[in-house]
Amino acid sequence: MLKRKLLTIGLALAVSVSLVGCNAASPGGDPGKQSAGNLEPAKPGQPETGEPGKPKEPAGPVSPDTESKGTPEAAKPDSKSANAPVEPGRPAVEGGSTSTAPKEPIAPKTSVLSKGDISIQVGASLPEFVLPDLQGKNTGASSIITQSKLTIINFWATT
Amino acid sequence: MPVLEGLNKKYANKNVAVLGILLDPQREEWAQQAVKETGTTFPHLKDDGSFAPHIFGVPQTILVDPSGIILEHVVGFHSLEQFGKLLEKHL
Repeated sequence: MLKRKLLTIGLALAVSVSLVGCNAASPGGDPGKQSAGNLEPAKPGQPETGEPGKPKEPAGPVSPDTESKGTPEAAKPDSKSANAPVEPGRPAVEGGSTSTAPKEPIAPKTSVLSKGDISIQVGASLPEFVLPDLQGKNTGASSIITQSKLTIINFWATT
Repeated sequence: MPVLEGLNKKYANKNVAVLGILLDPQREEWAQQAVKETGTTFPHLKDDGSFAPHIFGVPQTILVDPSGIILEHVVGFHSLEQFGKLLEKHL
């Protein structure tokens, strides 16, 4: 009888120990995952710090160019005060607006005639169209129509 | 075609443009020959199929203002004088 009691006590102890062990092991696994999770956000953090750095690099070469152009031009007006009003005007055209100026005339040309369906009726508005000429060169209708007081458009066929 | 070329020359100094639109570009060789024979100097554009469904019968001629509004629509052949009168109305 005593042996049985001892056995049951021993079993109970073994079960309780194993249960405690499981409890101790399961919370132990979670911190392990959390620690692994903490490492993952740290890795994206490195590219994030790298990305803001990249725009700075291209920005760097640009500013020296403008500065190198700017400093000799700026130096001239200082030395020659009489020519000063003329020379600052030129760099403004050369530097800033030449890159944007060609874009501006192109945009209105394509957008002058509104896009839409073709309707060959008096009073209807002819939409913009771009077609190749007999030499294969694409020609926009706006480039002819908007530049002329009147445009005669003749539709024809060989048959 | 000779009439249009006549208009092109006669009204060139009045800022009138002439534009031909070829509705059957698949017969481009014939068109090239026709342009050569008639000696037209104004540009011809090859239709990509966007105009052809709207043109019933050739030749057809429209007169448009700088904003693309169609002022006149003429179907069939007309003389230089007839086209001239139409043009003068809008010049």
